[in-house]
Amino acid sequence: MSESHLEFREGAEYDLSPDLGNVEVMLRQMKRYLDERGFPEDEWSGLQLAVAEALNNAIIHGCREHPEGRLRFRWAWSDAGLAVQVRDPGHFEPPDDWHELPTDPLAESGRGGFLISDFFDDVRHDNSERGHEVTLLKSVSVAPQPPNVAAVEEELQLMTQDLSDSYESLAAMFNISALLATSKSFDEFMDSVLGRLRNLLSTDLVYARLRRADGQWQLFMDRVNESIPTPPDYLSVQEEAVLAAQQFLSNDRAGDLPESDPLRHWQAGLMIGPVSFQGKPIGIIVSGRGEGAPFTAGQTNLLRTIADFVGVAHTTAELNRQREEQLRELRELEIAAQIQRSLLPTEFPASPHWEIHGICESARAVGGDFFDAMVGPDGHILVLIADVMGKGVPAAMLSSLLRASARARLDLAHDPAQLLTELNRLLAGDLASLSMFITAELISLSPDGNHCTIANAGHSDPLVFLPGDTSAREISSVGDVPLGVLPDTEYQNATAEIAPEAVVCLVTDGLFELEDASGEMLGWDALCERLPGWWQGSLPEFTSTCITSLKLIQRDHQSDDRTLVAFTRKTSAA
Amino acid sequence: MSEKTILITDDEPHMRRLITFSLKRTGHTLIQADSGEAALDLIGSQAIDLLLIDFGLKGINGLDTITSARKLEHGQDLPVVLLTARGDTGIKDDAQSAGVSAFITKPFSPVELVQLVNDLLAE
Repeated sequence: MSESHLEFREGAEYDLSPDLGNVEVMLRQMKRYLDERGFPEDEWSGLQLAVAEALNNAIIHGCREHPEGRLRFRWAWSDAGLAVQVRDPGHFEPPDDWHELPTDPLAESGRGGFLISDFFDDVRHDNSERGHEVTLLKSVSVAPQPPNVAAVEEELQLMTQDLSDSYESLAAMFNISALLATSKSFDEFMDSVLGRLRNLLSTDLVYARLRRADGQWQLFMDRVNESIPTPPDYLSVQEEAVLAAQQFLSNDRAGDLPESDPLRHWQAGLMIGPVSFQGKPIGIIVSGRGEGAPFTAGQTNLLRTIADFVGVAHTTAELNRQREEQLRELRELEIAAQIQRSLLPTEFPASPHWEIHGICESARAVGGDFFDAMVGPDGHILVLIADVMGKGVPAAMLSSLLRASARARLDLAHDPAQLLTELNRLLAGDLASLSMFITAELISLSPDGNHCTIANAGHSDPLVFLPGDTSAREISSVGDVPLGVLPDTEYQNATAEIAPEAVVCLVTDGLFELEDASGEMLGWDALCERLPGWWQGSLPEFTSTCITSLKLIQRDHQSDDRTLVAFTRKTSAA
Repeated sequence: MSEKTILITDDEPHMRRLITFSLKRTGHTLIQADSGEAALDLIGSQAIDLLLIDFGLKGINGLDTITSARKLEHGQDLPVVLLTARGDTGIKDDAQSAGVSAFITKPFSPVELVQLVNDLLAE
C-alpha cells in the first residue's frame, strides 16, 4: 500500500458536525461514489460496517469533550487501493487489544476495533494538535473504472440548475431586502418587487392581493404592457382556494379552467402562491404567462420565496404603521397637554376683598378639566371652572376656545348667566359636531366683597365652609344643562352672600367620584365632611392639602381629573 | 447579435459552472480560466469580447488581472464585469479606474446576469 493513498485526490472530503445522523448520509454518498466506479459488491458490507464504526467512534468518543468540534471524513480510491480517513477533535491511543473482540461475549461495546481491523489491511492512529486521525487502508481486487461520464454530467447539470435556482432566490432576497430598506412606503416597495419579479420570471403579469388592516383587499400589479387586462376586483375561485388552503398552486393548464375564470387567459403558465406570516393568511401572489414555456421549478421556488418575503414585509409595515399611529397619538397628547397647561392661570387676580387659588391635576396626559380667574372692566372677578366631556386634542382645543371666548366677553363679568348663555350659543355648533359637551360654572365676585353671583351649566354646586365647621354645605345655584346640549338655553343667576373668612370651593367630579383602596366611593357627602378638616389657614395650603389627601385616599391610583378652585372673603380690606 | 467570446474567470469550479450554465442561453462562445494568470494568457492570445472575472481570485486578484490586461493588445478596450462578494465595498473606485464596466455581487441573479451580458455586448 503506497502513500499515494493519502493524497486523496481521487475521492471525496466532507466536513461534518458530530451528529450520528450524518453516518448514514456519508455511507450513502460513499456507496454511490464507489458504485459508479465499479467497487466490488461483496466488499461493501464489510466496508460499510468498518467505516460506520470509525465514524461512530469519532462522534461518540472523539467529540465527547468537544461537542462543538467538527469531523473530517474523506476517502480515496485509486489503483493502489482504498483509503479512508476520519479525523475528530479528541485524543485516542488504542490499547494493545483494540483490534480484538472483547473477552466478555455479553459486553455492549468493544467490537469496533475488531470490525475495523478485520476489514482493513492497515489501520493507523495519529494524534496531533488537530485531534485524532485514523487512516484505514485496503487493497481492492479491481481498479476503479471511470464513472459514467454522461450520467455524471447529467447529475452535474441538475446540480447546476439547483445552484442557479438557489442563486436566483438568494439574489432576490438580498435585492428585495435592499428595496425594503430604501422604499419610502410599502406600496412603493411592492411596485418595485413585482416589477423585479416579473422581469425574473419573464412573464406577462404579476400581481398580489393583500388584505389591509381595515379588511379591504389591495391590488398591486406589474404587467408587460397596457394590453394585459387588470385583474378583477374580486378573488377568483382558484385564488380563494389557495388562500383558504394556504397551498401553492402551480397550474400550467389554465385552459382547463371555466370560461368565466379570469385566470383562464394564462394558458402557458399560471402560479398562485399564498402570502402569509406565521400561519396567518395575508393574501396571494399570482403570475401568469399567456404564451411560451410553462414555469420551471426554479421559477416556482422564486415565487414562493418572494411570497414569503412579502408576508414578512407586509406584517412589518403593518406593525410600523401601528407604531407610528401610537407615536402620533402620543405626540398629539403631548401637544394637547401643553395647550391645557398653558390655559391654567399661574397668577390669580388681586383684590382687597377676595383671595383666589386653584389647582388642576389630570389623570392622563390630557384631561378635560379646566379653570380660570379674571377681572372684568368694572372690577368684578370672574371665576370659571369647567369639565369638557372628552379627552385629548379636541378637549384641549375646546378648553382653549371656551377660555378665549369667556375672556373676550369680560364686559359680562358681572352677569355670569348672560355670559354662559352667550358662550353656549357660540360653542353649541362646534360641540354638537364633535358630540361633546361642557359642564361649567361661572362665579362673579362683586368688587365690594359683599356677594357673589353664580351661573351653572350642568356643574356641581359650589361648597362653602367656615374654618372650624364640621362640614361644608352647598350654595344653591340655578343649575341648567351643560354647554352644547341646547343652543337656546337661557342660564339664570343665583346670588349668595359670603361670610367673612368663609371658604368657597368649586370642584370637578374627580374630587368625590373616587374609590378608596377597598373600592368604596368617597362621594359628595364625605367630601363635604372632609373639606373643613383640610383647611390649614391659607388657600394655597388648603388646595394642596386637599389634592394630597385625596391621593392618599385613592392610594395614588388617579382615575379622573381633579380640579379645585377656592376663594375666600377676607375679613377686612387690605 | 453576432456570436461573441466571453471569458469566465473564477477559481471556484462551481462558480465557473454556474456562470457557464447561465450564459449558455446567450448563444455566445464561453471559455474559462481558473486564475488571473490563465486569463491573461488567453487575453494575450485571442480576441475576447467580454471578461467576467472574480475579484477575490487566489494569486493575482481580479483587479490586478484587469490592470495587467489593459496593457495587452486585446485587453485595452475589453468590457469587464467584476464579480464581487458582499462586503467588497471598498474597491469600486479602483475598479472604475481600471475600466470595469459593471459589477455583479454574489449571490447574483442568473437571469439578471444574462440581461447584463446581453446589454454590454449589444453596446
